[in-house]
Amino acid sequence: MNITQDLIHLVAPNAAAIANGQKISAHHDFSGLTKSEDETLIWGECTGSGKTPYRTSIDFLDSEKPVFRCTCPSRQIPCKHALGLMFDWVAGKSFSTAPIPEEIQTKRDRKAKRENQDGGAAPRPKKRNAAAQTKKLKKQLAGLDMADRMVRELMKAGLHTLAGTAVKTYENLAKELGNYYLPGPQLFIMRLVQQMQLLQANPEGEAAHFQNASTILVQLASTIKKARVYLAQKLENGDTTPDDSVLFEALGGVWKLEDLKRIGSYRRDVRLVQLSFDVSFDEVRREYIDRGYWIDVDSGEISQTLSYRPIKALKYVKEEDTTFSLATVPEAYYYPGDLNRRVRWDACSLSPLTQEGIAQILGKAQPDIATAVKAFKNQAKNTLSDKYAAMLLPYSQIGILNEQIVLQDLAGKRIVLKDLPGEDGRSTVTALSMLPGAADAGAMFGILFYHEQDRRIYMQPLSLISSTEIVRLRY
Amino acid sequence: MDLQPLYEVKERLQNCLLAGLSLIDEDFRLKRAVEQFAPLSSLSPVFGKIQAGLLKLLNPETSDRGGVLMDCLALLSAVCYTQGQTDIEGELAPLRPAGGMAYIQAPYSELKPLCDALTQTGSGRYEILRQAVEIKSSILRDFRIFPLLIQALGDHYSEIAELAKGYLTTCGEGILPMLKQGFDPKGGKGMVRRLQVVETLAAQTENEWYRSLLEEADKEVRIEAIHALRFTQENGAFLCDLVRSEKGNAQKSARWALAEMEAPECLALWQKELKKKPAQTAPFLRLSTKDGVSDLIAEALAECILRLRQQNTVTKEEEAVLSTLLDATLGKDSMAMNVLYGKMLDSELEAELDGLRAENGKPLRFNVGGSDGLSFSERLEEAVLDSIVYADCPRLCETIQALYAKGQEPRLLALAFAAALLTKSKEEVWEDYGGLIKKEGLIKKEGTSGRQARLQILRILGMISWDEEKERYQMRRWYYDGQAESYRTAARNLKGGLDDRWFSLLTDSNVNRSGSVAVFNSHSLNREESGAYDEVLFHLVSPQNQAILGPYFYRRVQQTKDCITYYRPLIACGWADFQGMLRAYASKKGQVYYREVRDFLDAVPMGNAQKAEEWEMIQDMIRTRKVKAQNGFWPETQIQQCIAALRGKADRQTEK
Repeated sequence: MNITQDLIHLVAPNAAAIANGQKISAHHDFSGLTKSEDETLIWGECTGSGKTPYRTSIDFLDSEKPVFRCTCPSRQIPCKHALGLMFDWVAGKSFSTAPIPEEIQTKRDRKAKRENQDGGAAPRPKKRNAAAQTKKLKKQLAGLDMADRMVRELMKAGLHTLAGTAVKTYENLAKELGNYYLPGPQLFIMRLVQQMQLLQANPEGEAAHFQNASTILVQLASTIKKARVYLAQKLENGDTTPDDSVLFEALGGVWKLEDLKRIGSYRRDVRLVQLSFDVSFDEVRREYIDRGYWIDVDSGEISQTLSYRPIKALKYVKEEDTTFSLATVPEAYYYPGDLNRRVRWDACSLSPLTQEGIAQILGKAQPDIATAVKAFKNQAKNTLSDKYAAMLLPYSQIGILNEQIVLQDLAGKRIVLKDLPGEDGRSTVTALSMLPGAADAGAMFGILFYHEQDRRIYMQPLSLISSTEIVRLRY
Repeated sequence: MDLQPLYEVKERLQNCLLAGLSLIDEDFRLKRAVEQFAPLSSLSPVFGKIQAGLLKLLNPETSDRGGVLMDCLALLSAVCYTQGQTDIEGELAPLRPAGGMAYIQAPYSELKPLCDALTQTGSGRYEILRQAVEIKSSILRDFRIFPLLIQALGDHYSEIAELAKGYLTTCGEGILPMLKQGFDPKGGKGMVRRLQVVETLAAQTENEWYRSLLEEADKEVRIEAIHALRFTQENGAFLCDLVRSEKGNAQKSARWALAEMEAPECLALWQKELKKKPAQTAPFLRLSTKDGVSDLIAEALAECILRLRQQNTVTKEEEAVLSTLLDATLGKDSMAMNVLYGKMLDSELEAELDGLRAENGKPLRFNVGGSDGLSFSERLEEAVLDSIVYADCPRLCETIQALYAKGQEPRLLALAFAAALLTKSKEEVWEDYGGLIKKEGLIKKEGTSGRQARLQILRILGMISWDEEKERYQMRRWYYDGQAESYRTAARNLKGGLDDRWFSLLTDSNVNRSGSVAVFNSHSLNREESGAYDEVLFHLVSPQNQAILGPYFYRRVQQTKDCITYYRPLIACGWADFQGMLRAYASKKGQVYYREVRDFLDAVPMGNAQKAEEWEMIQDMIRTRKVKAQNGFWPETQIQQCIAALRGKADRQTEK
């Protein structure tokens, strides 16, 4: 059993639960701290607001998927008591040894029985209703026709007409697209409306908002055009299952792990290290987005984990956190995409990130700025792709030129470091200028992006990797 | 290759999106942009494709102009991305991060609440920051948090700003570059606090910077920057100029700073102003301890007294002048001032000045710190005590002790005792003053003079308390800071502490405890007749005298049956046996107050089982109507839960 601070942060539902767990541990609220002989189970009793103490246990029989049990009424798993028990373990408190309680042994047996019945095999994929899927595709095509008419009308009348009562009309049209299983295009229209509203509210930022609006409109038109062909082809072929096209997600399709496995978009025994973590709020989606960038220590691929937490369900969705350890993932599933594919996994085990691990990461950096920029340009020129890409760049020097912070690679090529637009008050460039020892050579992890007004490609720094540590400029 | 026509045509097409396709035929700028783009079309196939699309778009016969427009824009955007530049020419200057910060490997769940507390609005922020400051969390020195702390100096919630300021002043000179970086001389309170942090950390070292700020500084920052000039004596002439040139609060600030200067031109200015407007000028000089300033105050006060002695009644204005000049004697210890003290403390002159009458014919009285009105001699006594605690005044202490030694006058006893405590060893003080408190016998009772002497000694002891952090006894007094417009505490270490014999004497049951004594920062133990006496002793509890004072307070509990009054002194003495006290208290009083019982049982060092028993005992007394609940308030359910929780904890402790 390897409980670490990192593991606690990984499994905790949110920051408040961690803080509460720490308090429980600091107040020594647990009594009867006990572990099983093989150290696969720890348990104890915790004083709570109830009449009788809560019985809390953590079962590490499957170390990648620990089972948290507690008699408290909390709906959070793990609850603050389970976290407190783990903090007690990390703090090195004394755990006496005892046989596994009967009640937990029974639960273990039942679980093992269930797994044996399944034969250890992955659950069979649900049978698809081909007729329903075909109907859905047809409905989507009809929705795309409607979206196309909308775009054409908007182009004819001009974006400037997207104001006042017209905003409501377009919002209603966007909602209507939801009935056609097209949440992707729906989101495009909502973003378009948002940009025009921002433009009207803030005439000073007109150029940037208008630029964004026209980019969104081009992307929407392109999505409609390509999606029509894609859906028509699928209908013609009678293939209604998700495939590796990015259009599936662009239209708003939601990937299931079993589908990703079916199309072969997964890897076994992947070793990942998080390079950066951040939480942002998407006004249009009304969701918090927890985004972590991870590097595959063996292949060097940089992928991202994305966790969407809708405002309406904040209490019930786990808030992700920073991970400093090396995560070994038995099965990592990748979404179709370009440079930074989205990755998901069900279970992982954590181990400390060693100096050798960091050296391996450094070895996986792009050869130079030119190569990285070329890869970024290749992605950005595709209308449906992201206009930014996370990269790991080696550098020989970071310095100041014309009041800008500049990164220089080993070949003497340079790139200006700049915050992504809209990052007000969260400048990582300013943070970099505060960082002691930042100018020492190493590698920088950051986001390459194209700045429309300046017509230049910049990089937003997110982390610095030296031979000894990964220094995060955000979280 | 000049790509300007490419960007131009893209911009025109985007404008078409804004204006609408229906106006495209009249868009002559687009047509011109397309014409300018034409030469590029031959350079690459993609440019040719764009050109073809543009021509199609401009053709009124084209049926799907919207689609063509989108295709053109998509292609143009793709080309723009591929043409994005990165390189930048010139020599790189090294990046020099400010010192004083570090990288702390802390997760989002720890950093984010602190970031939000420092940058957002709303409730709950103060507590997060307070906890971090309290435990001196290393995370505060993280380079992602530290700049936010500086930013928080301007927080609209002033408690947060002050907390950040307090923390930053403990961070050392290494953070000065960060504080100066991005300093806005025209800024508001945030910049003022930033400047105050610089003043605390650097004092005179940053004098040039303070002066440079004045070139641009406005309003609040200007006022603070002027005040910051007080650290450097060479600023004297400059400050005199500022007093003449500035107005309002900036001028006042210049005066506050000037009060710290000793240059002849500064003293000359003060002398002139003291002559002209003494009541308005003296307050500025109140906190100065410079000898030059002290001489000026002595001169003005002497003149004032001389004038008053020649007249029968004192006008309101003269009363104000005398009062502010007496206030301004705080911490003044020059030769001239001591000569004046010598004269003022003379019994004849004191009596004469005590006899001064106000305009309304009543005796002249001075209102100080909420007192009902002090006579001149009483006011002078307070001023002397304030002075010797506020600043190191060896001459004044000597003067007082010399005067007392001359006639052993009881009116000077308190002053002399205080001066002795600050300047002599504890043994010497005991030898000189210990004998003044007499034990009573069956026949021999404390006389009037003995009572007066005892109360004078207790009055001074009431100003003393044990400082746990410094592990010293300190004498404390309030003083008024006119610039901050608030009262502050002055504290001065006793030279040799307090001799143990004082405690043996004061805890002796034969010493009379009657009489009222003011105690600095009173805990209001004065429930019983002799509460003030015991409170003096409570403040004097230190690790060295716990063994004497503990049994004394326990004895007091037995005598008074009042454990509620004495449990805090007993805890301070490390007392562990509180068994049965609550029952005796309840029985004697006949009623109990829930909150008092709860506070008592929360505070006393009893086992959980024993606490549960105490609660049950009181519950029982109330149920059986042996005692009443004060105001009828006795939350049974809450108490039951408390008892259950205590029992639960006790059981688990037993298991362990």
